[in-house]
Amino acid sequence: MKRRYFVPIMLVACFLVLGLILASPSQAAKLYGKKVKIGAIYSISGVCAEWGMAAKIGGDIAVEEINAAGGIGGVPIEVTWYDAACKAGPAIPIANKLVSQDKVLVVNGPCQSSICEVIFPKLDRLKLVLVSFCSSKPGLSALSPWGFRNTLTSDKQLDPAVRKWKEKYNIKTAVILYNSEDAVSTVEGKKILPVLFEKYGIKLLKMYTFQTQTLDFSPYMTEIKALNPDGIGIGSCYEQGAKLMIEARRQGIKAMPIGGACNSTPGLIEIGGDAVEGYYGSTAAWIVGNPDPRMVKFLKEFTSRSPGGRMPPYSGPRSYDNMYIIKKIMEEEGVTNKPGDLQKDREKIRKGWEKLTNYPGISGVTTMDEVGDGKGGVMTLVVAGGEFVLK
Amino acid sequence: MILQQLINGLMLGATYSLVAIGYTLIFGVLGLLHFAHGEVLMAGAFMGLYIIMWSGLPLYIALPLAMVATGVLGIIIDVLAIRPLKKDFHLAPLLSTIGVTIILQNLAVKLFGGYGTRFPEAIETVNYKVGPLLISSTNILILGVSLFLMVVLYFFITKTKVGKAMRTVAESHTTAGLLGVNVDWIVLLTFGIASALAGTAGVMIGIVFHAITPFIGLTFALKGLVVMLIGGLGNVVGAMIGGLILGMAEVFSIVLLPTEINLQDIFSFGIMIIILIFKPTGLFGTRVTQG
Repeated sequence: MKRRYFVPIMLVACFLVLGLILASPSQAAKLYGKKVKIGAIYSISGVCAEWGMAAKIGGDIAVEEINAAGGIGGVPIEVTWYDAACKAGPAIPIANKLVSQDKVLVVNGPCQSSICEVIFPKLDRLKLVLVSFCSSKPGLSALSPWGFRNTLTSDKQLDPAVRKWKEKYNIKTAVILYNSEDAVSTVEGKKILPVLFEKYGIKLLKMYTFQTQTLDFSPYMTEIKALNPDGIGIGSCYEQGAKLMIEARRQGIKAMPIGGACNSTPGLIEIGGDAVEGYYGSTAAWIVGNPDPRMVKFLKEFTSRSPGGRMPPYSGPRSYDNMYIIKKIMEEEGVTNKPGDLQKDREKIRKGWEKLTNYPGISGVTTMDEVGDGKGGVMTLVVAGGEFVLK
Repeated sequence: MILQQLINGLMLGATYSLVAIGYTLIFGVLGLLHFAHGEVLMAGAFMGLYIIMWSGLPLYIALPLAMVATGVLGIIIDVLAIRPLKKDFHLAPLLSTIGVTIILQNLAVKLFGGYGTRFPEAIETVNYKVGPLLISSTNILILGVSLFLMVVLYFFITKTKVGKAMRTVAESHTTAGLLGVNVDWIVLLTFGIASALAGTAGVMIGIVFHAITPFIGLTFALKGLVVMLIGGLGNVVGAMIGGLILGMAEVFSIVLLPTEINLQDIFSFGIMIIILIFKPTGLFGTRVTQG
């Protein structure tokens, strides 16, 4: 090559390469620093450990995938996480630590509504975005513009489920059993289901409460058998839901069950077996039986890491989605990751979450509503042939 | 319906009795509230679950294996968490067993997950109908096992040489030692037997209630304590009767009280308090006079 052509050719090549770099979305806005610090609150001990463990595995899978693909803006994610042990008490010191000591940009978690209820009112002071991956008690995200939930609240989820359940089984009368120790189960059992039953013309015969550690549902079912309802509304997580349906069927009760998102998880079928056949429920993620290849891939990876190869409740895929949404928001909102811009970056992330629209996650499409709750597509699941089917 | 609820209460009570028999044995011999007894029960339930799941062994082999495993666990707890403590600090063993509770529970969460796990159907559940009443074979099994173990334990303690040694140790470690009883060995044996009983209870609870979690231990530790207090601390027959009373109380709290608010525990604990007001030693307990 002649020397006189060398310089112009190199200049054209440089412009071409620069153009390609600028055009490539994956290379947008290189972030400053060696790590992108993200916090997480996963309760991997205590009575809700299952949900926290699933969320941790889901979040870890997403972070590994993101880092393997170059991180966020070319910088790998570093997660600083804490175990809140399913208690509201440790959550506030953890959040303080994540803000001032760990200096994270955003937090994935916590899970439980009872923790969100305590921590969200403090967020106006902390000025840090927390995104819950499973809390579904209505009204909590409205407590602060910094608190978000990548889930649908129970009232949004249960309405279509109750309507379809009533139509399918011609439900005219029903009883409700709910766990009075759990925040979201109480709201479902005490406030949401009775209102929906009235809306759809279902006569509520009686309400019963039980506790998280209630083992024996035989006295409840003996009472319910005498009432002979068409349906049983369940406000609880899957373990109690499955146990009470096993006992109902043992005592010959034919009433068909319906439950909320905490109940509509793979564990319901694993424990309940035939007793939960025909169950209707709402969910924040369709897991078992979902043919979406992304979910299939996720579950394969998840079960290779979970104790006993167990399937996750919806906190697993929701936490996975959270990490990808965080990546998308950081890249789109121009987060710099410079130590001096920390608070500005946190504010950018908050705005990103606020306007999140139609994010196509593995758990479904997520859009934030005006208070910071997910309002994506509502899913109603039915147990048919030992697996969940979308209705 | 009331008769069916009586049966429900009897069956639930039998479960509590089974838990409390081992609990009360340790208290009777050592004067120790073994708070980790519930966690030993939980460990027994998981051992039973995995023995049946992995090996496919029938219940009559899996149950003794789980009993042996929990017996060994009980001995380990004694050797590592109770024995090394100084005898003159009375609260130390209680606090130590609370520590063991936390360790075992967290270990179980790490090993098995915080999940509710379905217990394999180790025996076929047959529901017998007697007129309008319904009794399942698993309920009969747990009642039978509770009664059988109570009788065996009662005769073991009252009629055998080792049982007499246990009662001597219960009276006074020093006197028992002077009489030639190997106190350390008796204490070890007591932990082994009581823990094996907890293992039995764990497996039975798994069979009857279909699913287990790493958190069932604490529930049963508290229920077992209530049963012991109702029946009389350290009394095996009292534990059996106390369990049945608690079971009946819980069932009839659902039948008799408003169901919109959960009054089960208030009702059960209320009965315990009433019994203790009128009979502070529990129904079958005896006052010990020290002079």
